[in-house]
Amino acid sequence: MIRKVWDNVEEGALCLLLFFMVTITFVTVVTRYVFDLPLSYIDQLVPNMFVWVTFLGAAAAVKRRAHLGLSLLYDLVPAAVRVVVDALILLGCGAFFLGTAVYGAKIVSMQMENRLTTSLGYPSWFVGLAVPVGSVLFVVRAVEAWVRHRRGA
Amino acid sequence: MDPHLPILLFGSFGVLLFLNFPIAAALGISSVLVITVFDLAPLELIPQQLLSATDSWTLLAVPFFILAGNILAKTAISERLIRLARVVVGQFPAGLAMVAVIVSIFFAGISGSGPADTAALGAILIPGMVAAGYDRRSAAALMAAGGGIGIIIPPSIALVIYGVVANASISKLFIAGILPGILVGLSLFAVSYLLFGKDPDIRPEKRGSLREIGAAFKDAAWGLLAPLIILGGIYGGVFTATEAATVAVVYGVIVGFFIHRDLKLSDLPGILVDTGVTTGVVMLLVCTASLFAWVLNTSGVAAAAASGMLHLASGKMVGFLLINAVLLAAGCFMDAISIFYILLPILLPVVKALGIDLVHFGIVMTVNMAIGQITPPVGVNLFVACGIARISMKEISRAVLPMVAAQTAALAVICLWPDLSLFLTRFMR
Repeated sequence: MIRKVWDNVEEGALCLLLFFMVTITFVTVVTRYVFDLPLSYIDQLVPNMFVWVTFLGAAAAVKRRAHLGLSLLYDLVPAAVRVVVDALILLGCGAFFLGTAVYGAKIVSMQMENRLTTSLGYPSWFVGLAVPVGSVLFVVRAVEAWVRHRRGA
Repeated sequence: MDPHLPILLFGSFGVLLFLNFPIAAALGISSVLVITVFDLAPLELIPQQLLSATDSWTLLAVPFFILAGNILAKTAISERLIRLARVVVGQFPAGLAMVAVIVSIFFAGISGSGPADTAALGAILIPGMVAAGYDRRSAAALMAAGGGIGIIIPPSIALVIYGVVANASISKLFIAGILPGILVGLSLFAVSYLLFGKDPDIRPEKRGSLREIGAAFKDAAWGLLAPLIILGGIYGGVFTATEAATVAVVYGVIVGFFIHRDLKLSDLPGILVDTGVTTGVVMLLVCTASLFAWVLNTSGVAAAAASGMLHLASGKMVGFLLINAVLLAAGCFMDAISIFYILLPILLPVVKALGIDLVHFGIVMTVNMAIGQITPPVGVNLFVACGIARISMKEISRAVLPMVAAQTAALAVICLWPDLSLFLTRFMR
């Protein structure tokens, strides 16, 4: 049960976020054109949710091996070399995204200390948090996929 | 500028790219490498840059158009459009190939992604063409090329990204894409006729009666209406691209649940997750590619490369030739989004100095990207079409050459005839 929830965290969040993003934007369009009543303060909320969709979606894409790459040479080399390349990719991506997670977390703590808020009143770090959370999930999913691949699944 | 900087930037990116790193990660890693080695900025800039790239109202059009496309694909609109085109033009020589091209043009007005169009239409038309006696490889190649029209005719994710990077009006870009997209379609008509028109193995379709045509038209009407609503709203100045995308989503939900009734509530989570994953792939590229573009601009590499190109390009014609050569070569190896972010900082000053209209150039660049989707080794539409037709990349790479030639000819016309792109935008509100 816990396993199932853990495996689908990103997917669940993506569904909810996208559903609310579309609904809110459509309602805004209707109020703007039909009732001539712009709800412009909402214009910030939806792009903020979009930040989360980007980083959670990127992590979910790791599970599905959906990120684009140039496999021209990779497909030509023998399997033993591919093992090394796979490890290099994991290390390189791991280092990059752990780095963004650390510096992203610094930004979040800075936003918390300064009590910055968005125009809708919720704290700015709600948005900033997407970077460290998404980056960590990206690395975790990459390691999981690598382990699964090594086991031959 | 330190001459080692561009070498490290492009060198490390090239190595990582050929090592099969995800392109998004390769762009990020090489940017960070240069930022640290040449001390361009504190590293806190990196998460901020990633964040600000995606915190955008305009780019919201990307997930919404992806979602609209996914919903409409589930409502069997493609089947209905294909049935209509078959009873109308199927009887002519190379009829089914003509159907494939016409439907590609119409479907491009609903969806904004080349691989998605190739998948939705190819799943039905490739087996259909093979059954009617068409060469399997050529049929797959034609569908892959038709899919490329998806990013030229609006809605188009590529045009949204171009508009954001080049700071050009997305509404104008959308309207400007219509006629060039149709021209690319016409070039595929010509190829289809040459390839299949006299092929004795192909069985012609039977002619549809007026009653059949009427029934098929009624059936496909909701699908035909979708592009009119999306484009009509933008053309009349009623919607922005983001708003039009939301309206398209709601339109798809209404048609799917209440009119065609082939969408079920249980389909929604899957559609939303697929949309989220595709958005993650596209937007992570946008984030790290914009970091790369920031490095190009801040370090002065973009300006130096631009003045180098201007030095080579003495006039519009030479400039266009040079730019198109760079874009076509880049399109063989990279995806459209990375190319927009990496090359636009360099190309925009050149384009402005040569006096080329930014909207016209957006269409030129996007047609290049559409060709990039069908040029090996990295042609995303080819991968999709190969999978459906169960042939190898090698087979389709050869079969697609006539289509690449035809689209390149169309590209030349689009370059030399700015009014083809700009004519319709003159009447916009």
